[in-house]
Amino acid sequence: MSNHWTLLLTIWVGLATVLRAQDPVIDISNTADGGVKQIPIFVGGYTGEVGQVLRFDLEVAGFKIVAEDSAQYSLSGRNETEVEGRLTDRLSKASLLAKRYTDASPRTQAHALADDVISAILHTPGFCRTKIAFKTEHGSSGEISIADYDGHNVVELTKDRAIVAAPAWAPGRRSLFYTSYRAGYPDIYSHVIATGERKPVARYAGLNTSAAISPDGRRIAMILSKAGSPDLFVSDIDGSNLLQLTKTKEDESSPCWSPDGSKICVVSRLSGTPALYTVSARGGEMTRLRTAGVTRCTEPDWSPDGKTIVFTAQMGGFQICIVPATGGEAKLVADGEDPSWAPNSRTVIFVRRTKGQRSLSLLDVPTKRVKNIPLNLGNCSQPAWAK
Amino acid sequence: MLLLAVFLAVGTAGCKKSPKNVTTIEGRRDISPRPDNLNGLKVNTDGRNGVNSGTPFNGNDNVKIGSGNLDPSGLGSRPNPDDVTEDPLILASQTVSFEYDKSSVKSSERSKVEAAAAYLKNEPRFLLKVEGHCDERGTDEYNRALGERRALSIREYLLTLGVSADRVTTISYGKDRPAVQGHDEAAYSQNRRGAFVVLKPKQ
Repeated sequence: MSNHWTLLLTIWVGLATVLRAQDPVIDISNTADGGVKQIPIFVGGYTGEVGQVLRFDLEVAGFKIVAEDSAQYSLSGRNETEVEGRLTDRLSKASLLAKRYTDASPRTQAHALADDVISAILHTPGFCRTKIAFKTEHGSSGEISIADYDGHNVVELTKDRAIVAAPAWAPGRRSLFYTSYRAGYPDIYSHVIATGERKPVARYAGLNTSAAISPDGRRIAMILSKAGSPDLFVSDIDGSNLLQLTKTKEDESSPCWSPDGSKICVVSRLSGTPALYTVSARGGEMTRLRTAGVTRCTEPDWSPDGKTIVFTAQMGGFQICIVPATGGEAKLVADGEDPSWAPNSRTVIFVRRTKGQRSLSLLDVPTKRVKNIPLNLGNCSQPAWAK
Repeated sequence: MLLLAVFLAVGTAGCKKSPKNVTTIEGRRDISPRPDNLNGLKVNTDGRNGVNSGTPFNGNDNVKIGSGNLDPSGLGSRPNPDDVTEDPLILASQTVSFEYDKSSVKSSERSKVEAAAAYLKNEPRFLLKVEGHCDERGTDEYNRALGERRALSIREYLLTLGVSADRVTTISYGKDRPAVQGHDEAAYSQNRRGAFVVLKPKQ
């Protein structure tokens, strides 16, 4: 009898291993080091939407919802009228949080509680009430959309029925910059979300795309081909005072800023294949960023804490990778493309391709756990996380 | 070069003093053709042969087409879409194909660009829009830049064939407008292309 159980257990464990190995989303097995363990937390007493929101937020943040006796932390409370939460450390018995939330929708109250739980345990800023912008495709054209980070409350910002690309937030989340072909050519526009006020900031001959706003909100990095090849330029926030930073014969793409605003990381085909380079925002030499172990690197995004650059490698399909901002060994963290950091420098939103469709997913980098954003909008791509 | 930079700095209010090694280029906002401004951007071209740009253009005949060395003037202006009628069919048979992840015009494709140049010589009123496209294997913005580089390589060759710079404009669609659907090399090779759209002034 006990032999039978052992056999069954062996089969079960074996099966589980096979299943895990087949699912690249759950476990990226071909990275050198596995992700860190998720933090076990018990969530009790919540119903309906509030319960769903709390579980989703905490799972994205790197927690695993477990039974109370195997949990390290316990979050309990209720949501009959207002959301209440008490957070305890089950090992030290310490009370970490006891709060009641008012003056908002149950959904927002639940996000606020999740933010408090995340910062109490992980000591990182919560991200549960942040916004994302992304591109939605309708046939051969698209629109720029905005939503809560978890895909709820989607609003289509544009209604142009034109090709759009590369939405980028200005700090403060009041305005977006993006590329639109609405006037026949790819131009960069600024768009104040509250008023709808829209202005072209770059519409030179050739290509105008990939706007990235400096952390102080005063400058734009972008790709223009006005000088004869797609090069990196910076300008003031209204598009004036253009400065050409790269002058290569090959094309540059997808700039992003270091959080102190001193450097820009950009893709160049200078060496024949796409690779990451850094250049001073005031001009100077391009320096190749070492990304050992991976090739064909595009779409960099610099973490808000300055330490890590996340990017897309292309080795067969697309892979999300991270590398120290000073260069070094690159690590694969998920299958997908076009990553954008959350304000916590830990979570990343990116694009996954399943069954020919592109959709948005969330990655907790240390644990390598991926959660899909349940959007029913067709192809979604080029996400940008508001910071 | 320095003189030109000084001239521009004086002529354009709000133009900041250029730091070393970089060139400030005054932005121009209108998109309608302004022949008087076509050469206004010459100031930024010397740098193309600077530290990052590989082999400088040495003026002899042994020039690599599509290497970026041939474009001496930058892009001047683009035609206002409202002023022209687009005809993508006239030169449809001359669509230029590209190698994977390459932007130079292959020697086997040069005759197509030459045919487009010959057509423009016979139709002096017409302008040309060169569309650059990519297959789906690159990421979005990388492909948008690569598609523009392809269109510019074709433009550069047209210019060496004697076509006036102000008659050729470029646009990149990246991988947003594939010629054919499909996820194999047969589809990819048709989607990596530079297509010609003849622009006929309406007046």
